[in-house]
Amino acid sequence: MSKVEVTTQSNTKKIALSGHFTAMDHDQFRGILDDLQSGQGCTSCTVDLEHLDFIDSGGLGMLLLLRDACIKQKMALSLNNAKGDVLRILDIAKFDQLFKVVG
Amino acid sequence: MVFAFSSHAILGSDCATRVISALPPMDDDTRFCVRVCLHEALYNAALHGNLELMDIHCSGITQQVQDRLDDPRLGSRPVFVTCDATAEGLSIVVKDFGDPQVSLPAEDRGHGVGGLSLIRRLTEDMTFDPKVKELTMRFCWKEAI
Repeated sequence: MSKVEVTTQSNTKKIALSGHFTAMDHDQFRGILDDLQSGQGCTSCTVDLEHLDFIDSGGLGMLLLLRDACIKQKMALSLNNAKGDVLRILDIAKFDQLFKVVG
Repeated sequence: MVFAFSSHAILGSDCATRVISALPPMDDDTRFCVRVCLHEALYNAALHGNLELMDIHCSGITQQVQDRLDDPRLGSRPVFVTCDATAEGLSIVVKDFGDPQVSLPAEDRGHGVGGLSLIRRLTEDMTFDPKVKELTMRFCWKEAI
């Protein structure tokens, strides 16, 4: 299971993921999506992947749901600090074509 | 080499790494591919196969998974992993015991990030036989160890 931490700084929602982000984290992440869609004046969202060790297709699917939510709310979205296996999986899934991926 | 896992074990622990630790040493690139593919295949077998869940992105999925794990008919089904390492490469067969009429692994969704899509990209060859619920994945050794 992944640990998910959400903070808000000025107009940016920051979501920090750590551990293993898989399909089993869906309900936890769904709460964040619901919160995001309620709209709290944020104009951008960043997902910090620095401490994420693994992501599977279920986790990738949740990032796509987040992308959909951000588009709906007209919020900019970026995936930050992915490294190692996680960065490689994002590359394989061609997420750089869908997200702003920041090293 | 044959391994048997419960769906509960697959969803609650890192069974892919347990299988890899019992396999012959392999280069880092192959290890990455095997780990990702095994994880995806095991999750597919447990969630879409044995537990017969079609949509893992629906609301309340955690409770649905728990309810089905607690259902003796679904929760007791095992997943078998058969590994065959040769000089050329590695073959892994993952078999679940879901009903072939109602349970199929989730195909690619939207942008092609479904489990089978990742497996296709990381294996030399991948086949799935829905009648016997067997996913076969083949990997070639990239470097001699």
